[in-house]
Amino acid sequence: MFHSVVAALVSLVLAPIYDGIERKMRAAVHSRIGPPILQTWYDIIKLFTKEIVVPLGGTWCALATVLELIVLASSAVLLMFVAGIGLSPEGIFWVIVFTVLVSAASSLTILRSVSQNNVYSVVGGFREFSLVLSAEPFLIMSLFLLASGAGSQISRAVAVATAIVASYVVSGRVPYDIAEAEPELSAGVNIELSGPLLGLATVSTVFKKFVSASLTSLVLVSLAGLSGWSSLAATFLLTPATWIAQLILSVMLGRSRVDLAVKFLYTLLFTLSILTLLSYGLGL
Amino acid sequence: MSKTFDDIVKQLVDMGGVVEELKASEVYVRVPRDRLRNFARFLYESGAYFKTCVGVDERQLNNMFAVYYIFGLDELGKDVVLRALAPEDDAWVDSITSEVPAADWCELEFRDLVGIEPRNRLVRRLVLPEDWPDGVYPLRKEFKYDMRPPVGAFREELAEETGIPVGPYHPALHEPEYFELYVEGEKIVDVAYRGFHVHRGIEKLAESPRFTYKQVPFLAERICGICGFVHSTCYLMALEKAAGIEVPERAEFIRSIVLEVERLHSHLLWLGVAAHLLGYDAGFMHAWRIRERVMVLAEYLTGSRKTYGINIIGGVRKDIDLDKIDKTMRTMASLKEEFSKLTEVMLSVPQVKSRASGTGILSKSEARALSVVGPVARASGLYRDIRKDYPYLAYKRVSFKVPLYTEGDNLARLLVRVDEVYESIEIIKQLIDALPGGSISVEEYEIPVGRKAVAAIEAPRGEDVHFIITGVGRPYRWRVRAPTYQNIPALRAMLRGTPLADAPLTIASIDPCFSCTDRVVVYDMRSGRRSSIRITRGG
Amino acid sequence: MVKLSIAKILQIALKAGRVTRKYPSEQPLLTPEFRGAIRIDPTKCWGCGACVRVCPPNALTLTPKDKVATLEYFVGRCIFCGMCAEVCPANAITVTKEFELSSTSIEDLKSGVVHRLVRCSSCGELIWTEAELRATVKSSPISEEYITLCPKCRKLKFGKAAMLGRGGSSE
Repeated sequence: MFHSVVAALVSLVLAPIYDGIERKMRAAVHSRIGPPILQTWYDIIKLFTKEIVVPLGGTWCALATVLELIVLASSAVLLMFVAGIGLSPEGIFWVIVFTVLVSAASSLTILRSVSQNNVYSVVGGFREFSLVLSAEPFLIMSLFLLASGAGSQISRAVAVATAIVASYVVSGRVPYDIAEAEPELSAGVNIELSGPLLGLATVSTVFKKFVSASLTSLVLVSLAGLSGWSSLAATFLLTPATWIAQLILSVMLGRSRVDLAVKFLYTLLFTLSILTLLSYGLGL
Repeated sequence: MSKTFDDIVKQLVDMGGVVEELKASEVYVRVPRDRLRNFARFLYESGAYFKTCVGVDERQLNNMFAVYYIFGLDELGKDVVLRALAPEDDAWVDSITSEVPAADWCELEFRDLVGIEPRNRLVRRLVLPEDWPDGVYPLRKEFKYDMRPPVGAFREELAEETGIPVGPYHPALHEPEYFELYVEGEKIVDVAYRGFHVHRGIEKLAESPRFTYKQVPFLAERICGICGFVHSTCYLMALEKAAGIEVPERAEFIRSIVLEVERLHSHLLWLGVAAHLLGYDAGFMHAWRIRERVMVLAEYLTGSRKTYGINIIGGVRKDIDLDKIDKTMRTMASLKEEFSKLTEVMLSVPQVKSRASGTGILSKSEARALSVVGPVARASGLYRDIRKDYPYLAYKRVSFKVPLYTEGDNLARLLVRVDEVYESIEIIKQLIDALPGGSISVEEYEIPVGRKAVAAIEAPRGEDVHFIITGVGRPYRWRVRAPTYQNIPALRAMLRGTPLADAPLTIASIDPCFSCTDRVVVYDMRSGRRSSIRITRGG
Repeated sequence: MVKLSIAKILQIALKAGRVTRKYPSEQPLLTPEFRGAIRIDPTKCWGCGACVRVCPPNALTLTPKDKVATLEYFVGRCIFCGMCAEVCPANAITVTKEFELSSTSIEDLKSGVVHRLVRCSSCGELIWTEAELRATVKSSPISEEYITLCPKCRKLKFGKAAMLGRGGSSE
């Protein structure tokens, strides 16, 4: 338990640095110098020193922004707990709590965006809603199946694939950054935020990426059959690698459109889920 | 088209037109002002497309106001200019918009700026702001160029927010304009456009004592920040044609080379922006990295990265020597290689294909009715390229293909531009190879008063038209019609039925240049029906 | 599904390397043809105003006031076309490669040449700058007594002298 808490706290400090590495590497693919590795930290510090401006949409929006960060941070910590036990029946309670928190964070993002009195933000919120509906149910299902400990190596592998795709969507990267979509919606869900509130939202974005990367690492680790201390260490170490892999994929793609994204994700994840269920059912 | 130019002129005369001036490239026909639409209908049916119309205060010459309607017979490479006169105390002409929808804006423009009323059509204020006083017409000669009339109260009633505003400052569109999109879910059902926020009165300035013939090219170059050389060249072509100045062949070649260099940088810029709008930032960065080579080449050839400043009356100021030829050839070779690699990757990105194809469709018949120009026309199956239709400068000496697509969607417009980059590279190589000797500008020239000319250039965004009437020391009237002016009305057709997410790409797909257009818009929905849903409520 | 050719962007990036520069510690690329701000050599300038007449954006102005005329160059309006350098009869204007021109004070953007004005010694009419007068004398020698006269008085005096020289009488 102690190891997990330490790993979680260290991870939360490291997450903005992983994000800085991401920005630097993205810049490299763009043939530019890019910002310093600590830039995300600088951004966050700068934003928190600015004056508070209550956005159009007022208290609800501010409350949702704060809650979202708390919930995301908790889910990041919980994820380390799960990693410390391994995706197995012993950890099923934590898995359930984790999935509840992830869904809660998404709901709070949607609440934050639709509570702002701004069309761009509202459109962004509805886009987020469609994305959440088309990815998270599959993520939760595959996590439960993996944690149940049932199924053969093949069926577990299909469940892992589903979880990887769905957690990529959770990371909010291109092509699934449609809720923010700078050229279309001018930051969409974040449009009315500034100063410390935008700082909170920025940290939330980074934590979301962290949750996505460590979740991907965790399911991969579980496939290797690790548990306990070694599972925690492997997840912790694999996270930056997963983070970079996700980044490289996102750099090579363009932004999707909400109808195309939903269609694509449903087709892909639904097929994967059917395969998972079939393989579990047949006991492969 | 079976009719010859002579047939058309003859028929115009039979209909009651009077040929005032017959030049090799254009004919000026005076027509009765109450029957303009008959002539316009005849020309449109004969295969002509509409270029623009110009209102001129000619009271100092003949005590009348005049309007010029310029039609292009692109298959014959000739222009027909209809001229109608109206007295000052009864200033009206027959509107032609019922026959030629493309004339909508320019008629409203001469109504606003010169005070000639187009009859038998709906009118509204287009260019002037709402608080501009009535009866003050900026392009009338008694209006001083630096005058600031007292403004009244802002009269316009702002509609209750019902749509999705895109602008006046939108991060994707970098220039002030305003679209209001009416949506159902994420599907656009209608569009309202409002522009002319950056009207700078350049035409008025050029005919003011502040400017001379020699200085106007530098002013013209600043109409557009991307295709400025097009405007200065087009102004000079019109002026040289009007004054009968023979430009040395070498100067014509240099102008053509620089025009193509400008097209290269413009298309690469556009391609980068399109990639950015599609969320493919790697494509954006690399398109602009490649473009940088073109910018450096432009600076080496002209002395400036943009607004080259080498155009003068009767030629150019900067010669191309052997070092420059060498550098140009090397740049073209590396550009071609890098560009083909980049576009291959860009077009293989799944989101680029899936989002660009099938969105923002402009059908051929709509394209024809609205007289759209440039890549927008060529992507909708209209074979229209001024370089082929009206070979100017050195373009008759080179061979190149005009890319043509029939889908009319965003992808087709993207592919037209991609193909044109290759063609431009080849054109530049051919021009450099065939560069003739001789001087680069004429020593002496004279500009007689009262001459008229129309000149057109294929700008990166489409046809740029300049019309000039010469005056004493400076133009008597200079009219600029930038390509975007002709293409914006087509956006309404393109945006309907397009997903909201693709609106920025669709708007960008005409490669709009709002400053060009505005140099001289409340675009209300003609139907007046607002089938919008309210989605602004939250919290 | 996702084609593998999208990965070629990595290859392109690898080949291109880093292209942005750490300006201002790394200087940007300027070609030999680059036109920047102009410099006016006060020792050569006559104050004739040819550059002022050709300047499209009115960046150059020549204002006579009391005993001096000031040729002012306001770089804030300059479009760097270099037309002034082309028309200058004294070759006093050079186009430099300077482009880092921003400043917090508008006065830093202005530079100028002050010319002393000369008035006709006979009628007091303004002739023009001393420098221009010197240049005119250099190119077409005028005898001492005509130098400080305005063209009108000069003509008058010359006419008188010519008539006297022919032996006619002014009476």
